[in-house]
Amino acid sequence: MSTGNWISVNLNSKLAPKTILDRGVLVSVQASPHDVPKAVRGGWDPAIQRFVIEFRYLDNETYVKERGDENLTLRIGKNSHRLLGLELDLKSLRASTVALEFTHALRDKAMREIENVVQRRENSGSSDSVNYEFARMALEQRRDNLMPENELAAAI
Amino acid sequence: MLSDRQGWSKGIGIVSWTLKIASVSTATLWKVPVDKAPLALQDVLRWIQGNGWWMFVALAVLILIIDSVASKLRDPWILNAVQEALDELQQHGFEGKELKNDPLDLHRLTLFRHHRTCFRRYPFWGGFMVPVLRSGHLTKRTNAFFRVPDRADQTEGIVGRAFRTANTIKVTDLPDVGTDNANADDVMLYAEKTFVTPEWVRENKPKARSFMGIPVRVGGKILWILVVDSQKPDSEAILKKIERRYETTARNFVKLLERLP
Repeated sequence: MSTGNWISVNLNSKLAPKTILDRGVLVSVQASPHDVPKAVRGGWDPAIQRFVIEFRYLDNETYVKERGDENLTLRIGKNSHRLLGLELDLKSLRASTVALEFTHALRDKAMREIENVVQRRENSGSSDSVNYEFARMALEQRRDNLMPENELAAAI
Repeated sequence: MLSDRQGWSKGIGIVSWTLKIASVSTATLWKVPVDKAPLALQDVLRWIQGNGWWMFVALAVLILIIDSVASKLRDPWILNAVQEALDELQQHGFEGKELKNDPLDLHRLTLFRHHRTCFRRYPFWGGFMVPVLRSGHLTKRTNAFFRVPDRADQTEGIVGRAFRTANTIKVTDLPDVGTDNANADDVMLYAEKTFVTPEWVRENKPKARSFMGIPVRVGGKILWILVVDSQKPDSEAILKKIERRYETTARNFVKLLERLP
């Protein structure tokens, strides 16, 4: 697939340990470094005709696809259920967006969808919701580098 | 003892070759006329020729099983590389000015692997974290085989909590229970904070005063836990340092673990 170079993200400052009560004992816990994205990249994949955003972790994993909504598909880790990537259907999204605001709309769309997923995971009490929080932070940190306007314009 | 895969791999290789030679010998001796053989061998030949069919089956099955185990234990260079990575993390974490005179075995890293069964504990089934490698060349002997059943509240040890919660767990400022006359309250507190029983603490007299358990994902699955333990009670900064170092080296570390069975 044709995607951009990996752009590293540093979320160490967000990795604050939390003190929780576990079996009556106060324990310091924090997300495993394997659940925090270390890099992101975005680019047009002509094979599937989608704009793809990928998250890189300390280990590699195969993914399964899960439908987000009509314009977006999520790539979910087969074993870990971490968010490994997003596939955005630009053409479908473009049809419902004013051209000048297209890039912003696309970024907002990706962010909104991740927010929705985080929310859904949190509501379901899933233990992997913390990973989606970090994925959202990674995207926020690098949103301007991930979706350069010229590449988006070329893609559509 | 920690799993000495290299030793096992060599031992199993020798057994496998012995069995292969035995099966070839059996086949050769099957058709030798008993009355023409030396007197001392005639009884052995009769026994082989009378029981040859099932001996062949038994040898074939044994060779298959042993070769399959041996194939899983091969590639000792990977274990050597993982051992070096653990040693490097240990040295990096505990190289500080105030620690440089400490023997390195006061501060250790142990790599545990998840197994469904463990013959060192009864009942043998239900999920266990088994120590595989430990940094340094001392204190390799351990009875640290922890249960990790499906119910998170029944898991044992820091390693068990890290495995079931998939979180990095840190515990510092533990009381000193490494002596015969440890205070009963301290034993209770130590047991509570490290998720083991007071009996286990009394029996094993652990010297570590701080722990950190990092879940290591390989292909998305948590099969390994890296446990750092230190006899220094206030080691938060050191644990942090090791954690950061682990993050920078983890991609290579995971690549090595991917190749282990």
